[in-house]
Amino acid sequence: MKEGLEKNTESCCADMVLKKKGSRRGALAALLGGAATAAASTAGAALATEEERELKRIKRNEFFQKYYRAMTEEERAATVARFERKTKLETGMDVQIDSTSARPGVLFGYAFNISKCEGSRECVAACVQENNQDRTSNMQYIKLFEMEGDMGSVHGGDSEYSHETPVDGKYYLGTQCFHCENPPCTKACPTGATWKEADGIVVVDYNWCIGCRYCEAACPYFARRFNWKEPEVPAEEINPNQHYLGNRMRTKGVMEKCTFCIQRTRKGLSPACVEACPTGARVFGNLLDPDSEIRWILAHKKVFRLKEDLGAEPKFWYYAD
Amino acid sequence: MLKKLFITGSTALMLIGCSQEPEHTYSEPLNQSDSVRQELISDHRAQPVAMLGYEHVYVAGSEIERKDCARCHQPGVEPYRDASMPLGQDAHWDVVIHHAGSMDCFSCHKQEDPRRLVSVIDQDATLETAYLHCGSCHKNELQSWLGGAHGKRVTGWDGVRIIENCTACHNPHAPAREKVIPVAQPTVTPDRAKRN
Ligand code: HEC
Ligand code: HEC
Ligand code: HEC
Ligand code: HEC
Repeated sequence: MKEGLEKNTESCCADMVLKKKGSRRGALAALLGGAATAAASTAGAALATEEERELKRIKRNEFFQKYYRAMTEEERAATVARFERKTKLETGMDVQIDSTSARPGVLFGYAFNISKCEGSRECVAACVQENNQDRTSNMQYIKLFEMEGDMGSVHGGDSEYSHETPVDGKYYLGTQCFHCENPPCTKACPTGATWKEADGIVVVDYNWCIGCRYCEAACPYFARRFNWKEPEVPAEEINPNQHYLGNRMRTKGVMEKCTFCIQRTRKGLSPACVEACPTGARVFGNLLDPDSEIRWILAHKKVFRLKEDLGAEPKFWYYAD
Repeated sequence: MLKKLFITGSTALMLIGCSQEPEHTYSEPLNQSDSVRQELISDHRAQPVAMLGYEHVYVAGSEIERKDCARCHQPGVEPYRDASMPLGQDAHWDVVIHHAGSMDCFSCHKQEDPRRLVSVIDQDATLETAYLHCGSCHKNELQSWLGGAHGKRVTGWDGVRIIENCTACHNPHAPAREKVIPVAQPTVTPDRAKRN
């Protein structure tokens, strides 16, 4: 709380604060500062336990937290520690929130073999499990479309099939965030809460997102998901290996999306969907490594991407063999 | 500013990075210690690919290693064959061949020792190096498998590359894959992709 107020002691009125460029949170802090202090002090001493007070303090700090990209390494470490503690207090779970940054010499890319996918949706299940998606709204990042012939786009495909697969004469095409090299979504964001990292992963700072959903509208691939309600994951199903820009717990009113399992891939593992695929239809790797599997596919297979004419340069290729 | 050009079979792709970002250069991001590497190799009971130029790629071991063929098949000793039974269907009644119509056991297993397989790539192909055998008829799949477009890598994207043998996904006797019942309910809420 203290830090939040101190930051704004120079500003005497809301107008002035709002004119100050790039201090959106600061402005809110100044506007709400008084109210928040009052609430905190009345909720106060007599009833709350030490832990409840700690949780309140953490939440207050979170509200005034800086933009992730603007944080120093120490600030990131402190923020991460605060989130770990918050999850412990709220759910009793011990989670590890990682803030590993992009490794130089890495640019991630993905290839999907439409002649191998059998539509089993093992990838979807693994993704939900890995990324702590809201179970009650059945949120999923991956969609598998059952397709027939050349449909021009996925719109003709059926993403809600529930019969034995693969059906003869049909093929299965999976979509998720394509981590465009030239992403339209990040440009639409008014607060800079979503951006492309140096290794090509498009991420969201859930604490900086205001939930306006402009990015969702801007994405030509329907890759973004919005939390209409407080996400719920049963405690025993929470994946404790988390990344700040990845699968840490989200809140109501923020955007989320596939992060190529940033918590796994930054450590050299493959995304959960790749690992779960029983057919090997999903290939993930480093586009800058000339010996990688993804580069072999780009060099030796006929590949295509969806809506290539839009120029978003998705790093997600389809191929068949 | 990044400018990287990939020429692909049909597509020339330009990836043009955003100017604020550091330059991408390839600098061997392999971030795996030798001990981790050895651990992965032994966990998967993996062997280097027995083909020239692919020794750095490893193939994961299969369950078959535990089936003890030598208990009944000594090299050079013909097993007792009941003439009234089709070849191999007496002792191995559970082996049913649905593979390209007209194959019998000896199209693949060598008569003198069934653990060894017929292959034009390598005379020493065994059950563990079945890819040498499959690959002698399925050349394109073998190439794709070595390159990474067919089959599956069992380790992460970085570090030692360990891949599945053909027999991990295909029953050699009936290699077509069976149908599956999909898991995970699809999202039921209509989304924009659907409405369009
Ligand atoms: C319990 C003893 C037993 C074991 C263990 C066994 N076999 Fe056999 N197998 C036989 C007998 C007996 C025959 C001959 C009768 C027949 O044709 O069914 C035979 C026949 C075969 C044949 C048909 C060709 C031929 O020589 O008759 C093949 C191929 C074969 N076995 C492969 C294997 C392989 C590979 C393994 C190890 C994974 C194995 N067997 C393990 C008993 C065994
Ligand atoms: C298309 C080639 C091919 C043909 C034809 C074939 N096999 Fe095999 N067989 C293999 C390969 C490859 C393996 C190794 C499987 C593995 O590693 O999982 C194998 C494994 C086996 C095994 C041990 C695994 C098991 O399923 O129990 C037996 C027994 C066996 N074969 C018997 C036979 C018999 C008997 C015949 C003839 C009726 C036959 N095979 C025909 C390729 C063939
Ligand atoms: C002697 C040559 C030969 C060998 C050895 C061989 N195959 Fe085949 N395989 C064929 C032929 C021929 C076909 C049928 C192709 C077709 O129908 O177009 C076939 C078909 C297949 C199919 C497609 C099946 C279907 O119905 O969709 C698969 C998968 C396959 N083989 C896998 C394997 C694997 C795995 C091995 C090694 C264990 C292997 N093959 C070894 C000749 C071979
Ligand atoms: C990770 C699992 C996996 C591995 C490993 C694998 N395949 Fe396949 N393979 C598939 C799938 C899935 C299909 C498509 C389904 C089908 O056609 O039955 C397929 C199809 C095939 C076909 C049919 C032709 C086609 O392209 O549709 C052949 C032949 C084949 N595989 C051979 C091989 C050979 C040879 C190897 C080893 C060098 C191998 N496979 C390794 C999963 C695998």
